[in-house]
Amino acid sequence: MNPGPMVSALLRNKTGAILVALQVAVTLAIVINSLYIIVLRVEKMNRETGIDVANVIITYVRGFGDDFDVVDSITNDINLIKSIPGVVAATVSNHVPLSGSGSGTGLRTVADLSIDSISTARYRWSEEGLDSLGVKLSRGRNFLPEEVNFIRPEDDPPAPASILITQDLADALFGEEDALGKTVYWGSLEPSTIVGIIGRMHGSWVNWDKLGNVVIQPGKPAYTTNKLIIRVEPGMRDELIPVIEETLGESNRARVVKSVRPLEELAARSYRRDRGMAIILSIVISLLIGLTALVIVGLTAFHVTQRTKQIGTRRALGARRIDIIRQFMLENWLITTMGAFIGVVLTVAVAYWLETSFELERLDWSYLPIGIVVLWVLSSVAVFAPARRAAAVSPAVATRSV
Amino acid sequence: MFKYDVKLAFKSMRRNPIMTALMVAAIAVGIGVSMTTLTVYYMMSSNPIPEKSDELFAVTLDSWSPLRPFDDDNPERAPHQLTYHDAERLLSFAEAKRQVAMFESSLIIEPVKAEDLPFEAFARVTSTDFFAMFDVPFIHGSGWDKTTDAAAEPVVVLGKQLNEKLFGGENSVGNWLTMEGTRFRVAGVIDSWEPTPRFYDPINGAFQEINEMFIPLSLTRVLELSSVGSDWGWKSEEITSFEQWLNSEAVWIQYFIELETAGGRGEYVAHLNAYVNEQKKLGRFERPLNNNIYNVEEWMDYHEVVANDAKVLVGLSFLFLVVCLLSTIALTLTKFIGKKAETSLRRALGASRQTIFKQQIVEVAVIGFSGGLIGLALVTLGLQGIEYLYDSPEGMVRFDWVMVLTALGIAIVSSMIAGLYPAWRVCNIPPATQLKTQ
Amino acid sequence: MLQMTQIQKIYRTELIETHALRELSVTVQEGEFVALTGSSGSGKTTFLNIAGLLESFEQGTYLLDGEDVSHLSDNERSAYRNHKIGFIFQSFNLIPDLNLFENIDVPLRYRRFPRADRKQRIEHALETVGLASRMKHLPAQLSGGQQQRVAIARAIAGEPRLMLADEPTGNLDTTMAQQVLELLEEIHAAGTTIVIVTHDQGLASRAQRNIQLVDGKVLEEESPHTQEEIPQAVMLNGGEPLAAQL
Repeated sequence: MNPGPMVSALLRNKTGAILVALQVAVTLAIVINSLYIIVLRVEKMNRETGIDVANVIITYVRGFGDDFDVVDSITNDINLIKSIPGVVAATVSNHVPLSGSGSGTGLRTVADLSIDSISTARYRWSEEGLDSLGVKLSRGRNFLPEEVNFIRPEDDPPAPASILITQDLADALFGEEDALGKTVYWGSLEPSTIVGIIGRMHGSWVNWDKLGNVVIQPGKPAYTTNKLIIRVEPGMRDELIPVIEETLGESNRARVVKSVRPLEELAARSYRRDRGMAIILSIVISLLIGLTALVIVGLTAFHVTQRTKQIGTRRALGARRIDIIRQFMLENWLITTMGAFIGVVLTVAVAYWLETSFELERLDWSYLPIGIVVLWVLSSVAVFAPARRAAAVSPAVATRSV
Repeated sequence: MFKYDVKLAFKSMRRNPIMTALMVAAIAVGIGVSMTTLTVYYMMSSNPIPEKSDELFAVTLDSWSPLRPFDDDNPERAPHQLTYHDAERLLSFAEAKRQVAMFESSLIIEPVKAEDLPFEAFARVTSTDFFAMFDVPFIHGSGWDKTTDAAAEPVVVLGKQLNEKLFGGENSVGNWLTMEGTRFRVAGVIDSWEPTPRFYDPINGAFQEINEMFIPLSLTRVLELSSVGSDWGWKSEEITSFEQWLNSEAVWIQYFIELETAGGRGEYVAHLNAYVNEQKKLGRFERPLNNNIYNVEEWMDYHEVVANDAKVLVGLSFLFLVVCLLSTIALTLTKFIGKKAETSLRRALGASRQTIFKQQIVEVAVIGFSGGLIGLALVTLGLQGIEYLYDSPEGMVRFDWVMVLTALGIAIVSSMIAGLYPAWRVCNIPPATQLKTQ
Repeated sequence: MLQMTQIQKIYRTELIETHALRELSVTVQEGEFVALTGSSGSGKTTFLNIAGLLESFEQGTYLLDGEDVSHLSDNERSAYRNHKIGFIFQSFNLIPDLNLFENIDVPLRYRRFPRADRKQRIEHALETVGLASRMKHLPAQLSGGQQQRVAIARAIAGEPRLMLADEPTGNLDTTMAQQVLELLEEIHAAGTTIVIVTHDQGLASRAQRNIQLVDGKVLEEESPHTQEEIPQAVMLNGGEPLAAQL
């Protein structure tokens, strides 16, 4: 293979080659960095929540008026809901995991306020809470019915004797030690005993780095707005939502059924920024790759037309079709590679900017070679069709005068 | 001559339809992507109340735990909300030109007609000065005066939409409304008022529309109104009544002041410090003095109202625009070089360098303009997509004339810049060289 | 009309210098019809490029229509070409996507003639070459001879003082070449000075005077016709110096 004529052709249109190389370089920088952000967001959205998200329905109910008895209302609502065929379990809860709305607290392993506490999300629900979310207890026991009481806003109950915590919180509190049966202290320095450990469960705030830290207290919160968590048989969710809405709506006109929604919808809302970012960036890199490929196709096709006579002459002098294709491919490969070299520098610069200005995670360097290979393949594919057309130029062109 | 240049530009564009389409597409996509993200950024970072943003201040007092700061990541910051009782005290001093304490609550509105269903509506529970301070536009009636507030009279100012829903959009001032067993008199109806970002409550979301109605702050105690916004506490206190909750160290009240001039700032902080020193004698405010006020712009920065994602997107999409420009330059250059023979002939027939240069620039400007127009259509599409993706209220991300002109300007200027070098190359083609080659 | 004295032109590349013209001196009188002949590489094209103000030269002086054009700026040269010179090329050099009318319009546009004036000139030029009915046709729809006639129409539409033709019949068959030649003679008869560059002796013999170039120099001059046969010059531009018209 003689690269001579090609390189000289490249040099003759130096500016054009440099422009395409620069375009390839910036494309590489955008694609790699965007792809990395997309992958991180998708990983984040696909984290294992520990919750049976697909089969959970969330209902917000709010009573009003002087005659309204919140405890009665909750008791009736839970009973009504559980009488509906297809419902597995239901509880009232102070907050809904993954919803963005929650309550937080700090726990300590020693009763000393000067020691920093471990932050965690806090829930309060009945003995049916775990089952209502499909959350699995890995060790220890669930709440006993006698541990679960109604709690009104003005009650200010003492710290519960028994609590459940997640493995993540256990690790944060006790490290290697076994947390089961241990005592932890609240901000009031009142103690509680860990009676069960949940393998995994996500709290309310999906953007929090301690999302897996969760503590659960026994009780039925009887506040203004009652948040009901309902789990149904797999596949029955969408058909049961209107049933629940209707059943609750008819039973008591002294309260408003604010919404009956799949937990999946609330979770999607919490993740909408990540989802939005991943989608926007996917569109951006698709457009970018499409544009760069089309530009390479367009430029090559134009060059083929311009060089028809030269190609014909080469063919007349004995070049095979494959030689012509190879000439264009190699020319393009040289430009892409030149672009990839500049692109690596640019990619690192952009990654550095993202990391320092926006606290984004450091780019995983293994994306660089992947990106370069993708670009090679892409530009080769782009150049192939016009190159094949070039190879189809008849050697007879050489003898024509115009 | 300009008309002739434009005509030649179209001829030339038609000669290489694929190249032309690519150039227009490159600019259109570049403008589409970069202007979409820029519009979102512009919306997020725009000044919601430009005529007053330097005289309005959010107030913070450091009432937090003596053991640790409110925000471990920014230990210099005081809590971003006040306790109810501190807010009440500051209001009573009335040291600023105007002051307002507020929080977001929700109430059940009982049906006017028996067949209607009760529904929940958001209410901003706030003090008298709110409407004057934030220049809220009224359609009917007005806010409430200080006497009404002091007497905890149940009055309500309705948002335009809620008035539509309840009273069919008529002048409802003087009508009555029952909410959770209490009868409220309608004092006024405001026009659409959605400052973006919602600077007066970035804590509970800078980009949402929840101005359904407004009621006096003094009703908090009477009706035992709870906040649907965030509340934060550090102290373990026994709370068994609403009164105890109001007197607790939990922070959940947003407090804003308006000063005569931005210069009155130091004086007001001194006043806050005097109040806090007074309270220290009672055993509260155990942290060192750290009371600050923030003007609107500072308050937006404090809450990082412009999401990092929006900034990253602007940065990446302008790099994208760079790629589009590089494409345009490469395509233009290639295309112009393809016109060597014609240019050379035109030069021989008497066209000066400037004439040739001008003609090329007109051609790229025409391409830039076409690309810009298509780009604008793409921006409209992009903004709708973003509204959908981020679940934001319809019409929140507006594309105003400033942005339209910016988009077209960027399209034309950038394509002209992209055309400069190729045009310069072309106009330097000597008149003779190409006439013989075939 | 055209007076070149001791013109020297050297083409330089990194490796070699080529002396295209060596102290060339050529004079063409007003109203003459001159043929410049020579073999390939004799400097014919370089002469034409310099005469047509398409290229500059290193040494010597060049008087065009009595004015020294050796040191004109690029813009002035463009204007001179546009006003004083008409070009005819071997390969016609019509712009393929412009119709005949628009092709002839190109130099007139650069001269900023008013619209009505341009229209009249174009129509007249097309009539002269016998293609008035095909005004809206594209060059590709014409035969080679017709295309060359359009090129001639383009050259005469601006009423140039000097017509430069580079192998005008080189791409044409005998019949078409004959037509083109007759057209050139007509133009000459109307008073335009014509210089043809060619290696075709048959064509050269139709000129009043032949100049033969060898190796960038004039070998010899021969006059196939007597001096008396030169027609009286017609002052198409009124004889004013060009600067006054600009």
